[in-house]
Amino acid sequence: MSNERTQVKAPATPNERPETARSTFDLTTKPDAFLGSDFVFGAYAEAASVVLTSYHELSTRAASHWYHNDKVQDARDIIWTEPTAVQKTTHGNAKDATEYGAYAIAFLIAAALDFVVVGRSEQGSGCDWIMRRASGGTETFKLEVSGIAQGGSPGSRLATKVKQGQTGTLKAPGLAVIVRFSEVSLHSEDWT
Amino acid sequence: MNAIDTYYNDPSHRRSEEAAVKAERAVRAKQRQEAERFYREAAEAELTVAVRVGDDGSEPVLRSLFAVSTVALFFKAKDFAKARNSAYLFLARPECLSSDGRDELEGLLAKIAREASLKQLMTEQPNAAALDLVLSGGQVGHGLIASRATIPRREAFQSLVDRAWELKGGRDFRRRGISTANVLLLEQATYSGSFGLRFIIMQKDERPNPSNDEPSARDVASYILELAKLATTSPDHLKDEVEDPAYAKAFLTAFRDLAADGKAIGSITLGYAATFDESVTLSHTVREQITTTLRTLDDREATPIRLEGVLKVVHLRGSEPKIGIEDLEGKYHELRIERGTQDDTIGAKVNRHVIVQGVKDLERDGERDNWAHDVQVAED
Repeated sequence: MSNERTQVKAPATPNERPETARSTFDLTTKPDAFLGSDFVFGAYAEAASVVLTSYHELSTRAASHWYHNDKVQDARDIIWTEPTAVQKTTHGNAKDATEYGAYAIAFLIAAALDFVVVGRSEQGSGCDWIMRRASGGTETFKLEVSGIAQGGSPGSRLATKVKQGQTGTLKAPGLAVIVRFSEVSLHSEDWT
Repeated sequence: MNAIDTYYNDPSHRRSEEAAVKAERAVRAKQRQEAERFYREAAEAELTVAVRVGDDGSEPVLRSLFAVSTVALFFKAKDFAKARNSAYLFLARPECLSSDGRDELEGLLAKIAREASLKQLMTEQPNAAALDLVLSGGQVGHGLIASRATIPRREAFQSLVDRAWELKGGRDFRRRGISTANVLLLEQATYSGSFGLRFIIMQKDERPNPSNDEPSARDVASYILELAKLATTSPDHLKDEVEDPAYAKAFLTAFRDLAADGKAIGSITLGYAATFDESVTLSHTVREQITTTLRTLDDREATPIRLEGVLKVVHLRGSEPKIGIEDLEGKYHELRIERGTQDDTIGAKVNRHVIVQGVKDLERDGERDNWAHDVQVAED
């Protein structure tokens, strides 16, 4: 479904596009496509910033590698705000920070795929994010997210998340996103 | 504005989302009471929206999402009475819910009943400790598992509890006979997407303070998790921590028997019930590492052996305990077992298809003996 929405092309090399023209995944501002509060986005963006900083200490910007439905997407830089010492302490548990930080990046990916994240829906364990299309309509979509600090297998995690997304209270189409923070590799897949 | 935006943009829902995020933060900071307070706040706010969503039956999916969310938030707040009441409130109008929503609410009711009964037990027995062992992956289904995969693990866990109590209580290593540990191991019915075994350890007698030198049920549970951490990160360190090699071997053997085999069971997690605090993962790799460490505990010069077949005979009496295996070609093999190391768990494996890992001693009283170190039920 998303292949109709997203243009698939090889990533641009740095020489082909000036730095300023590169699209970004911007964690410093709540995207319009996330309807929740600044507080909620900020909490997850903060966790993402802490994990990103642990792998990219000298900058608050890094090139991401995004694959949607196994195809390479537009090269985008991810930008974030340098976390404070207090924020680093708050997100001291790397496992949790990775999971929560992945939410913020997933919201940005959902926005890039023309979804609007309307809100959170609690589950017995964890939560689901509910989306609709940016163009409107009443169809409901699910967003399933998982984060990996480094290593691991994003491919198999993605397959698990897609499978998980296809079950539960809401049997609906959706999007699964896996974020591997060490080299900012982003993997997304939709299901109908 | 469509129905999705209307209800999700309701200020009460946004308040609920913020409180839920604050609750998650408190959980991460191990501030349990704070977390429960925020979850309760989130649940109350969500409920005010949920009852209005599709109350004319026009939005069953959306109503189900809000209903499940409300009940799940009360559940996470450990307010089981309100969780149950709100579930009944929504289920009382089934025509307003989707069938998946009804199933999910009924599933939550089962979870609520289980956690509420544990909470009640913990109130009556404040010194009891509950641990969850969750088996997942491999051939584990949705709340289903082959009983041959659970039987040896129940035995291994019982052994772990007895041995942990005995060592903490300063007892010498028990080489034979029944444990005199003053703790009772109970099991609670489970409800799980994977498969969960919930063990409750409590004191056998009702004296408030049985004896100062006796470990409590909580001491035993915390010691088991401490040992499990060592067994999964570095089995060699467990050997150093537990100075008595017989105890070290017994603990490592029990953790090995609990661990996943990589085929029938992909992964096993052990931690405090419901919260999974201090949880450890007993993977197939951990099982292999422990087996390697167990071999090093045996200082005799030996070569590894592997045998597959049916366990036909177990002799635990006498000076040389033995087991007998009929291999896949019908040939009978006798192997010795170390006294006291497998007595707790071997019985459940008789007449089962097993894989034996062990060693052939090159030098032991001038004879060549086969020793079985790990008798694993072949669960595929």
